[in-house]
Parts: sequence; C-alpha cells; structure tokens
Amino acid sequence: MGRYTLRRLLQLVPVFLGTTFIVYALVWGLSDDPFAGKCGQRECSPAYIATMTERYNLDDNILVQYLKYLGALLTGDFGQTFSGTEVSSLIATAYPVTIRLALVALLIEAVIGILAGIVSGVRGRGFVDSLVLVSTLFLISLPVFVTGLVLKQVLGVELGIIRTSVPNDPSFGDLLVPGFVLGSLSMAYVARLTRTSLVENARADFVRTAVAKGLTHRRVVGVHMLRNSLIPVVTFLGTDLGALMGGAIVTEGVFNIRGIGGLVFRGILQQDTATVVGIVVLLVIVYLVANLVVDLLYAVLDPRIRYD
Amino acid sequence: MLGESGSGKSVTAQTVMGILDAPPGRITAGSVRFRGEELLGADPERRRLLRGESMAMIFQDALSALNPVYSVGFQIAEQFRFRRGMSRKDATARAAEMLDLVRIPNAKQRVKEYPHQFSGGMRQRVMIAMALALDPDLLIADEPTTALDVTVQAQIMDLLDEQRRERGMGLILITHDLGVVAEVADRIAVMYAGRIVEHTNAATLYARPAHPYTRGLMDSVPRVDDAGGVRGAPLRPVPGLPPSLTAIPRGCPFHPRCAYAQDVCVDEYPPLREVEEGHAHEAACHFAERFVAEGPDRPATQEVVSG
Ligand SMILES: Nc1ncnc2c1ncn2[C@@H]1O[C@H](COP(=O)(O)OP(=O)(O)OP(=O)(O)O)[C@@H](O)[C@H]1O
Ligand code: SF4
Ligand SMILES: [Mg+2]
Repeated sequence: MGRYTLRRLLQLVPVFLGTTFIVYALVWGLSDDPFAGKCGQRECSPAYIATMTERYNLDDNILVQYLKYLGALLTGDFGQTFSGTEVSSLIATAYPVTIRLALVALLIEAVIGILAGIVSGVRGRGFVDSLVLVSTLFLISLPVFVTGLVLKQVLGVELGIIRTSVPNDPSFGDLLVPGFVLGSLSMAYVARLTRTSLVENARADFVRTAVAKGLTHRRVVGVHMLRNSLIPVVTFLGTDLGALMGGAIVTEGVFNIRGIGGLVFRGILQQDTATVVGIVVLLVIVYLVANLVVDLLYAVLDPRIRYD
Repeated sequence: MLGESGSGKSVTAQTVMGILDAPPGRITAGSVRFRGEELLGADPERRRLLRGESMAMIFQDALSALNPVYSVGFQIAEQFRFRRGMSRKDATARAAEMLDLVRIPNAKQRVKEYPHQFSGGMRQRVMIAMALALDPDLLIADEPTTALDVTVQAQIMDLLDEQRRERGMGLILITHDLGVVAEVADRIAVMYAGRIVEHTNAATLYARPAHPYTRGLMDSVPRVDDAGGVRGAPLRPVPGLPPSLTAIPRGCPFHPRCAYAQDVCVDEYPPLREVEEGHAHEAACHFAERFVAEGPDRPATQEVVSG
C-alpha cells in the first residue's frame, strides 16, 4: 500500500505538468495581443508594456514562460495581476470560502443522498421509494441556477430565513443553503446510485449467506449489503469534489459568495492570466488529490483491489 | 435430495432455512417441521434464531456466497460475536480454530485473508467452517462440490461425512450426482418439477425404484452395483427436458417424458403415497407398485420407448 501510494503520487507529477501547461498556454493564447484593452481606450504606454513583458516573460517562447512560472510557483509565488496585486493574496481569501462551500455541498450530498438511497433501496417499491425517485428526477432536471434563485427568493426574500448575500467569512450555517444548491444535482445522483447499488446487492449470494447465518436484518443490510454498495458511491463523491469547486461559480454568483468563481470569471473577462492560471492550478491539485484519496479508499473498501 | 437442474432443490432448501426471496417467492401450502416444530408461519425472529444455531446451509458457489469485502475470519467470527456475545478477539480466535477444524493449513494466518485469496476447495472449507460455527443440528449442503474438480470433491465429501458423524448432525445433501448420493445417503428424496416424486432409503431406491423418473436417472449414470445392469451398456439420458416450473404439465408432471404414460397420467395428478408396506417407500406415480415389483431387472426407459 505504501509503495502504491508513492507510485500514485509520482504519477500525479506528469498529469499536473500537462494540465497546468495546457491551461497556461490556452489562457495566454486567448488573444494575439495580451495588452488589447488593458489600458482603457488608449494604447498602452511603452513603459507599461515593457514592465508587463518583463513581469510575465512575454519575450520568451511559451514553454520557457511556463517553466519560469512553474519555478516561481514552486517557491509559493503565484505572480501578480496586471494591476500588481499578488495573486496569492487573492487566492488566500477566495479559496477557503469555495473549499468550505464545496465541502458543505459534499457533506449534504453524501449524507442526504446516501440516506435517501438506503431508505428507498431497502424498503423497496412503495411510497418512500417513489418519493425519492420523483424528487431526485426533479432535482436532476432543474439547472443549478434555477434551484439557487428559487431558494434565494423563497427562503431569503419572502421568508427571510436566510441572508440573500453571504458574508465575507461565511460560517457553516451561512453556507447551508448555497451548499444544498451546489450539491443538489449530485445529491440526486448519489441517492439513485446508492439505491440501484443496494437493490443489486440485495440479490447477491453473500447476502443470502448472511441471512442464513441468522444475523439480524439490520446487520445484514448495514454490514453485508452497505459496504459493497457504497464502493461506487464513494468513487463518485471523491471525483465530485473537484467538479463541485469548479462548478461553484454559478452558486457563488447567485448568493454573492466571494469565492474563486467570481475571481476566475473576472480574471477571464480581464484576461488576467496570472489569476486564472493560479486558480486553475490549485483546482487541478485539489482534483488530483481527491482522486488519489478515492483510489486509496477503494482499496480499503474492496480488498480485491490490490495495489502492489 | 436428488434431481435435475431446475427441479426445485435449492428452493426447497431455502424454504426449510427460511431464506427464500419473498417476493418473488411465495409459500402457498405445505409444512416444514423441525424437531416437531412447525416452521412455516412461525415468528420470523424465532426462525432467525434457528438459523446458524440449529440449521445451517452451505452453497454451491463459495466464491459468490462469501462476502468479498470482509476477511473470512470476520465472517466466521461474526456468528460468535453476534450470536454468542463473544469479544472480537475471542471470536477471531474461535474462527481460526474452526478453520483448523476443516483442515485449512496455517489457519492462524489465513483467518485474516479474503475469500478471493483462497482456492475453490479451500473456500468451500471456509463455508463449511462458517456453517459449523454454532454447532447446528442440521446442515443443508446445496451442491457443495459441483463447482470443484473431482479430487477436491472427494475431500470435501469426506470432510462433510466426518463432521456429520462426529457431531451427530443431520445432513441434507442436495445434488444431481447419483454417485455421490449412493455413497453417503441413508434416505433419498427424488425431486421433479418442484415436488418430491420418490422418497425412501438408499438401498430400496436402488433396488426397487418406483418412479420412472428415478429409473431414468439411474439409467443415465454408470451403475454402482453389479447386481443389475449389463456391464458396458450404453448410458441413456432421460429423454426430453424438464418442464418450466411456470408451466407444469397437468396430470403427472412427468408424463411428456414418461415411456409408460397412459391416459390417466395426462388427466390425474398422482400424489405422493406409500407404495411398499414396511419400507417407508413413497412415490408419486399411478403405476408405482408395478415398477417396484419389476425390481432391478427393469427394462431401460429407452428400450421401452424404442420398442
Ligand atoms: N415449488 C416450486 N414452485 C414454483 N416454482 C418453483 C418451485 N421450486 C422451484 N421453482 C422454480 O424453479 C427454479 C429453479 O429452482 P431451483 O433453483 O430450486 O432448482 P435446483 O434444483 O436447485 O437447480 P440447480 O441444480 O440448477 O441448482 C426456481 O428459480 C423457481 O423459479
Ligand atoms: S404417473 Fe404415469 S406419467 Fe407419471 S411417472 Fe407414472 S407412469 Fe409416468
Ligand atoms: Mg440449486
């Protein structure tokens, strides 16, 4: 297991280099002239152009630029925006908010999704099962911004239960509703995945063996059916963390959350390459680490997967 | 318990154990008695407590019957922990003893391993260890050796036989292999289309089979006794196919395949009844007495058909 983990960590290196290089090259390549529109209506002054060319190594070819960027990154230097703000300080304020939001969403989708899946999967056809199937279908068919705007309008504006604009350093409670909105689609998938997986496993021979051993129904379901059924669910949840962070932009917009979504959005509009690349690089890292954790968890949940 | 594939052997065993999938399974009639106690309709909790403790079951495919994500030790120890209230440590020690009992080498080590790490024969031994854990009075073995190769089959049968003897335990062996039954069974029930069609002790069954289906089965394997059969006689499978249990023929369910079928067989269902006074010999055939009287010198089914 130790060696497997090490090998997986090493495998992350080329993936990391490849993805970040592509992002770097794409963002700088967005327009032919990196200074277009940078200085309002006027042409940029030669002095400004000289400073920026120096700051972003624009005279080098793209590969060298990237390598220089990477070198700085390894020392923790994310570079500066065109206006001279340290990207790392932008990230330091925005990232924790989005991570918190994504984790709340993940928690909600895991807890509610799995519980709903278990209840409908174990009970079998009936009212609860139909309720879960219909409500998840409902959530799946609604775009996230609709769910978000409706909840904001109803809970925030009409009922006044939640604040329509989330404060700068949001608490867990502040993020509950946005987290629900962000996680709602995946929550529906988790519920259905858990349900299907349980129903499939219920007919498995080893479940019959567990019953034949005279174990209680609770133990048969909770120990013998659940663990096997949760393997695909855990995989889904792990890979979903990265997707949630990347997809947080809409939810953040709806609830005025100052996370990376708005930062990236503004960065792209203003062609502020350093910001965009910095944020995406971190997203890639989150994604890769989450995947690694899933793979390791997989080995813990299913001993047939052997990593040596 | 003997019968072709699909004749309802497993369903019957599961009904006895109370582990029939319901739905789709449904029990419409009949009776299962264990030590005089009627089990059909008994309190589900009562039935659960009987499982493992009084009656246990092992299955044909040990690989799928064992939970792939828990160690074999965990799965055996589970019964000691949750039925006997033992601590995890004591239970695991007992699990290792059970593995040792069924002669799995290196039991202390292997108790931590997972089902996929065992060979087919060893896995079936694990199943047996698990079934014997709570020292049941009755063990139902549903085709325990079908998935194994011949030498391993013999070892598993020996192990079952030995444990049965040592524990004074009842063994219901389900098989479609007449050879296996002949060696171990005291009494044999032959099943056809979901019902028992003949039931008696092994010697009587071999000497005087009362049901044409039983005869057919015997003609389809090499004779174990030298008394009757012609040496080197060709093997004759029972002609035709077993019926789908969703469309059982009316009258005698065997009549479409029976060489002796008469009009009455198509119209009237022959119930299982005593056919030989004093031999506890039951059969479900209108002409059972005739076949019993013919004894071992019966003509083969096939000869009757072609003649
Ligand atoms: N008493 C019954 N009434 C109605 N249907 C039955 C009955 N017994 C068996 N069946 C049907 O026949 C199917 C096969 O039965 P079962 O699995 O018990 O056969 P088997 O004798 O164990 O066959 P195999 O040798 O292949 O294991 C069952 O799935 C069930 O649908
Ligand atoms: S009742 Fe008739 S059809 Fe059925 S087994 Fe006997 S002879 Fe054959
Ligand atoms: Mg069977």
